[in-house]
Amino acid sequence: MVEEIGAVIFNQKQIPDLIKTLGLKMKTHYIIMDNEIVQCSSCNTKITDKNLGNIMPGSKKFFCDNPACFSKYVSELEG
Amino acid sequence: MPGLFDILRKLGGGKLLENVIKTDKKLRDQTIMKAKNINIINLSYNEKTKPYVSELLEKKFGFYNEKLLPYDMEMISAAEAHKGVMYRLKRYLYPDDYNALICASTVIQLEDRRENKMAKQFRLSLSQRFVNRGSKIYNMLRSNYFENLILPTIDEIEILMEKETQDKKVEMFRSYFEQLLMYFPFAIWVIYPTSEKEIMEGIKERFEQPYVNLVCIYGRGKKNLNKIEKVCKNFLKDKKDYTSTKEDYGLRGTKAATFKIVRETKK
Repeated sequence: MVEEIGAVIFNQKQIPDLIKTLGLKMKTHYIIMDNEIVQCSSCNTKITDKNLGNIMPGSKKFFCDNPACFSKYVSELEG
Repeated sequence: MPGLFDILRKLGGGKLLENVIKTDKKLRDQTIMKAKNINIINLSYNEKTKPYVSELLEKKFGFYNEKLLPYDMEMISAAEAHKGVMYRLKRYLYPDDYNALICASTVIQLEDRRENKMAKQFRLSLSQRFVNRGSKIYNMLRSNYFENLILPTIDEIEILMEKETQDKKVEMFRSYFEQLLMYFPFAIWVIYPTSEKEIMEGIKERFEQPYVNLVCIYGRGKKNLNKIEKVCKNFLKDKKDYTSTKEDYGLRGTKAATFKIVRETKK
């Protein structure tokens, strides 16, 4: 079976604009959602406009730029 | 269930589809070639896609930092390639250990394809994210212990605890796996800081266990291999009931080997 993945690809410079477009706020480089600093869903690192790695579909689940953190998403994907 | 192209059609008609087709060719080729069995529908974040961002995220589109995309696709591909085994282990491992296993499997896939730079970088990320557990899980997977020891143990647990609940079986497995991570009785993985004394003590300690009759010592790099060779020779001196073999191979472009010490007569 072929898995279908939809990917919107952004670069480092576009992060602040992407955050704004998603209706989120920034406070001293941190991304704020529901008045809280957004954390990596895998390692709990605080997400900034410098270390945003992924946002997962269907929810506003954020991951930092350690590629190993993406494994949490992969583990939810297949199963 | 609608496919991603259907979603794009609904959202932006032809414009977004056009964007997909015109997406950066280099990036598209790079990701598609690496991720077999995965159809990646790429969109670039730009003025055309910007108005649809929230809707795309609500639907089935994830947002990917371009610098991580090759790693992400490798991971999805590795998990896809080992779906059967992975799914079985998923029921037993702690979620974070399972995540580490996906990463370890990705590193191995990259190493086997000789994509050394990416493998090295990713292995570093694995250690940073999962610390020692990540490295130990990588070692066990690299040396086929998941296949030859851990999965058969799950088989045994499932047979012996047939009448128990799944939770009890998982609890039993996790306690066993925890012990393996604390102290692996069947093998030693030698890295640069490991001293000859530590290797020797490790071998002796393992053969102290009555159920251990084979100890494998894994190493890569000339210095490590010389160290192991020397220790094995010293260990075997005056020991008639022990024999050793060496299997050479290459890993990430460096020389690697497995030294096996076997105790012929049981204690």
